[in-house]
Amino acid sequence: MHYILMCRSLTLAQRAARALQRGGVFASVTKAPQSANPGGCTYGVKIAQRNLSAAQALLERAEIHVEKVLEQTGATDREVRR
Amino acid sequence: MIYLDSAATSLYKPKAVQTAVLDALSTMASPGRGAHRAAMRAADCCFDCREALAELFHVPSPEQVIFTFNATHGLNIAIRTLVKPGSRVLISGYEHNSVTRPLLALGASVTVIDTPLFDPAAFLARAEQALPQADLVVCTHVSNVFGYVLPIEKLAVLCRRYRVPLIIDAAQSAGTLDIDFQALGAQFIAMPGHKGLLGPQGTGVLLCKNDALPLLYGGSGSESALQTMPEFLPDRLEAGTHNVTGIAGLLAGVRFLQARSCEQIRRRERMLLEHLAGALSKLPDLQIFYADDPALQSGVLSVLPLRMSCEDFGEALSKAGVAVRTGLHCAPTAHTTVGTLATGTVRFSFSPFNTERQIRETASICKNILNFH
Repeated sequence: MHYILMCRSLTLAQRAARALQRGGVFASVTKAPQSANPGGCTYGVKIAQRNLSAAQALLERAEIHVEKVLEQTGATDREVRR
Repeated sequence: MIYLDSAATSLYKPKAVQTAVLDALSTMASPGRGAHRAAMRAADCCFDCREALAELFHVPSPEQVIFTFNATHGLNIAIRTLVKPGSRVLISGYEHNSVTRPLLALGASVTVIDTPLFDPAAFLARAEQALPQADLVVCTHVSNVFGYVLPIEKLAVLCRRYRVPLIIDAAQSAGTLDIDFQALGAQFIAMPGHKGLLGPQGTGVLLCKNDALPLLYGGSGSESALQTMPEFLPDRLEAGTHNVTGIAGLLAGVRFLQARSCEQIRRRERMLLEHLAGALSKLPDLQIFYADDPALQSGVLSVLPLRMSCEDFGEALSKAGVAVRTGLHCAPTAHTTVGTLATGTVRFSFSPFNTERQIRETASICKNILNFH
């Protein structure tokens, strides 16, 4: 299981991924599931479940806003927090 | 060929630029149009380039770095965002048509601060007088015709004092002069990628303080279900497929600059300019537009032959293997200010890759042309 931190743009997702990697959290940019964003295509940052707290702290410090957090288990997505 | 037309486009590029373009052609697709490896390589390249540019120009966030196709494209976005019909706009007497034409097309009321060449004090005094009645200032950092470095930092201070937004045309200064976007507080700074930044043609950059109005509408790879452009940068201003190969080359050019310093490049170009100006000043029948103070002139030297046309002089130089530009250089405002509108000038413009030997040869060729005419 992992989380996707959804960002409003690809560039912001890239900035978030770089900030996380610099902070020691493995993160990769991914296209977010269409079902999670009625506005259309968007990108997010995929992280392991265990890194959620550390990732959120790093992004807050970097002043990077995450639109929502999706929990992905297999083929299902569930929004867990904003 | 001795290429002395770098103010139009840099021909001599670092080898890494060519390598990066070729690599991008075969390995990169389109950023924001998928999550496969080729798309993500392109996305990474674009992001790396935004980050490098943000660092070079002290921009707070890479999202504020917009890719354009040239400086004109960026200036059009900036001007269309801030100008409405009747807007009172101050411009320097050294602006390019990429500023004056959009202003005219949008129905702006333009005041030209047409102060003498290489006289920043006169420029600032006139600007301060006019600022209380202005809605916007658009100013070039360096004249593309005369190399005149306008006092942009002091102008920015005045603009902030009078709360008038400022657009800077950095077409001739980006890569050569230090530009601190945050310290200047400009609303926009537009620049080409293919001149001092040493990238390929078809690249440009617009630095944005806040929001801007899109010039192009279309796919952005984001918020695709909506029929309006996204509200956020950079997507809002980047409709359509990016020039990824160009951006890859631009990134290589910017990294080349980052490994040196703008000051180092400026000093080298200044040394070349001084050598040529010194040699040409000994020739008869040639008017030279040269500032002794190195702070006032950067990278460009215009001359005016008094016994032959600029075009004949340029053609003779071309036949002898020296590439320069003649005419108005798309900047009739600058020629009107200096009094060369009827003739134009012959413009020599330098790159960090020009050599002293090339400058000596050029001076010698100029001497022969003038002697035998």
